Amino acid sequence: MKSTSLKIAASLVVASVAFGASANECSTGKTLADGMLTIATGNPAYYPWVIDDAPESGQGFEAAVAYAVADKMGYDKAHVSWVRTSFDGAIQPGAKNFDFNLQQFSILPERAEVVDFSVPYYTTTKAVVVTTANGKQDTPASLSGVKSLKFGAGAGLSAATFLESAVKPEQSTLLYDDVANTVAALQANQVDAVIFDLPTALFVTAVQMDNGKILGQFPTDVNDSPDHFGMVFAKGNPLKSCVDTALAEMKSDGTMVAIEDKWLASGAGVPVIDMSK
Amino acid sequence: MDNTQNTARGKPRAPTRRQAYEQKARRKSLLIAAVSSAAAIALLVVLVPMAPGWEAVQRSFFNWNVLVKTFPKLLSAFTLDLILFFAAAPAIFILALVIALMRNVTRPALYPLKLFAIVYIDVLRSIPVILTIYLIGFGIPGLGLLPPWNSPYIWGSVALVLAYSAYIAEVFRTGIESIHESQRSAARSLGLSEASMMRYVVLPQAIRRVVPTLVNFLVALLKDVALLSFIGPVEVLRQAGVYKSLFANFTPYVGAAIIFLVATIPAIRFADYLMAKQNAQRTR
Amino acid sequence: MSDAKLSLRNIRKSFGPLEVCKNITVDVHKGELVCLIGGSGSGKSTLLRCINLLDPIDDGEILLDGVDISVPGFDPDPVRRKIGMVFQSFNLFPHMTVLENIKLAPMKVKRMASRDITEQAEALLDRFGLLDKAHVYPDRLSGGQQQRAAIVRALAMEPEIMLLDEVTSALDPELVGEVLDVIRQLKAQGMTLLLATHEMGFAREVSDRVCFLSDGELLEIAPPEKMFGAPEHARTQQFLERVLRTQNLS
Ligand SMILES: Nc1ncnc2c1ncn2[C@@H]1O[C@H](COP(=O)(O)OP(=O)(O)OP(=O)(O)O)[C@@H](O)[C@H]1O
Ligand SMILES: [Mg+2]
Repeated sequence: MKSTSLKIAASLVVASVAFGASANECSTGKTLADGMLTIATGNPAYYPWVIDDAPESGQGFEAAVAYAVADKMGYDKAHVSWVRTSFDGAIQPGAKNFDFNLQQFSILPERAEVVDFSVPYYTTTKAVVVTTANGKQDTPASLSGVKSLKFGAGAGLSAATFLESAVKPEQSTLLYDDVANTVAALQANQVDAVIFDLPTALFVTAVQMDNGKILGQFPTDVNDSPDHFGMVFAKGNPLKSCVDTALAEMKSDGTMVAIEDKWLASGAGVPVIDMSK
Repeated sequence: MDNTQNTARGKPRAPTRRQAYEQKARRKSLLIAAVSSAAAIALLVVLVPMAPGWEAVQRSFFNWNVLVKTFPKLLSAFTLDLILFFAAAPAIFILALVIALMRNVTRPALYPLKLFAIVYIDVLRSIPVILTIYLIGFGIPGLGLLPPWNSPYIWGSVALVLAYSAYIAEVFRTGIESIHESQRSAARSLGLSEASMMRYVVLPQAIRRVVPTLVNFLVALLKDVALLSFIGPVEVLRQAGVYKSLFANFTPYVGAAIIFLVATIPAIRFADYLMAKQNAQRTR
Repeated sequence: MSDAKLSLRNIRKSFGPLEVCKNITVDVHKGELVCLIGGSGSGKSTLLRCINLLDPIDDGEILLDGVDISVPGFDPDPVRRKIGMVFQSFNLFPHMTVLENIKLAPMKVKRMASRDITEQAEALLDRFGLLDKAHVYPDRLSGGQQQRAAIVRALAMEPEIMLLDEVTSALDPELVGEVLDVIRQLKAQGMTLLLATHEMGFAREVSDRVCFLSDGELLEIAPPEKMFGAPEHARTQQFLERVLRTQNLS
């Protein structure tokens, strides 16, 4: 069994060298399929992280980051394949069907006990979105102001935990399965405000809602805010160090900033919520 | 032989031959049941951990630390399930009864009621409960109701009440139809009105007859309350989901499952007991 | 108009194509005991049910004290208070004790106070030897006790006429006697009775008149001596011969 797969691996390496797609030494023998990088994203994957749910196009922030990382590791577009997983699929025990998985996983110490994270590829704050339809849009952007709101949030995101530890809202928070349902609850007036990472908030208010408004973003120095997004690896996957190196390179040579500028709207001008008031 | 002599000598307390035989058989089958169960459990306990992935599974699903950290909050989230359950159950019972009675009317003038009941039951029984919850729990508040009347707690419960009352109306209907025609004749011949006949003669018997089925539906209802989490409320299933995502670990789901087990198994046993009791009565 | 307590005039009743009552006319006078006899399916039960307005008749008139109660739309409930009916079986409500069975209608229909009706019911139970069963559920009673309790329940509404539909036919032979005793007692007290029965000996003994039904037709009405001694119709004769032969055998 092992010897056959080694033989196949060896022939694949020969083949890929022959085709000139030079996977760098770091990742050799560490990927799921030799010579190929298998990357997972959500099902579906959302704007602005992946455009039109088609990561193969390289359109969207996470799709672009994934291809850039692959490129740094020596895999061209043809040697990247995509799979889809849910959050649960990413963390369930047993063999993984991906080399790494990126779908806005926040790096949390509790999670790090079960899976490995890359160094952050993006850092964002959490933002509060309200609508102008229910008169909450003039809530002061302060801790006491947002405390009084009834919040909705995505259940899989770290927002619920964040609200509980940093904001302690006066009314119980409602949680939803995805961004669309969370926005629907806001529009149906079932919650006063919802909480997203800033890029999603910017997208939702710009595209999905006519009357949406970002009330403010939380400052970078409270609890789990800012959010650091990391790629998820099976615990102990040696590929992690290769990806970390690639990400570090991308940060230092400006690739990352360029991708951010291209795919993520600027958060400049979004007020910061005053946590002292 | 012996026992006839026993009774002849006036010692009725000594077991008869038949009793002795049955007692022995009972002991033997108890022993077999105990040994085979123990063997099965032992196999599970020994074999499963020998599976290559067991350690990983144990870490993800049976993680003691995670369980200890999350269980108290899961329990307190379960109180929301209980509140919603106890709010919905009586409403379901009453509405189901009304629908079942409407379904049973015979007077031509009231035919629209009957038609409504038929459509109600057919439609709500054919839609998965989760869809009813989604459509009503999200849809109706979206019509522009103002707080607090757009609360997902209210409309989610309404959706549960609608869905379950359709099922339970059918249970009541079969109960009502199972009452022998002569009971109705006897009641009417005494001069009882149609309504009094239903109330004092037919319904008490019909409801008694369907109690075991009702208990089973109540167990299902308690579990389906968790579906309300889809439209916002953070009940035990959702709370477990949040912890799962926080700890990247499925143990909170196991914790939730334990809570449901402890809450429902007594009810299930109770239903079995009632069912057995009724069967015994029927064969008497 | 006759002075009959109950008067049936040209009663017709069909279930679909099946004609079950064919032009039946008979009077029952106050204090009279009339027996309906006839083969299985001859229409005895149907006729009794029609009188109690449990089934609507297709044509004809049912007069109670000279009042036509069969007019379509006539409120049946007040009529049924005057007419007590007991069926072949499954009479008692199994979820109520004997006493509760008896009290239900007087309380819900006549709006009598619970205390008054309890006294009255206990007196009735005592009279028919059932007082010790007052707080017992029907499934703990023998068949004969159940039928007697059902008769007591009907009596508690103080009916003016009683319809009894083969009240002994579901009983073991040794239990028949106690129920027939109750009927004798009722007759002795002047109750007007119309009963369908297969007990030919009993019919012969207690009836004032006997009606023979055959395939929905009222073939013959006669005093018992005549009916059982010298029936006019050949069919009556045949029926009686057959029935009496089997009944004597058993
Ligand atoms: N509800 C009904 N629908 C249709 N047919 C019926 C109905 N009730 C009675 N019948 C029919 O009417 C006929 C007379 O029935 P009925 O019960 O009056 O007979 P019966 O003289 O009481 O017979 P038995 O001595 O067996 O009790 C039978 O052929 C029966 O099948
Ligand atoms: Mg009959």
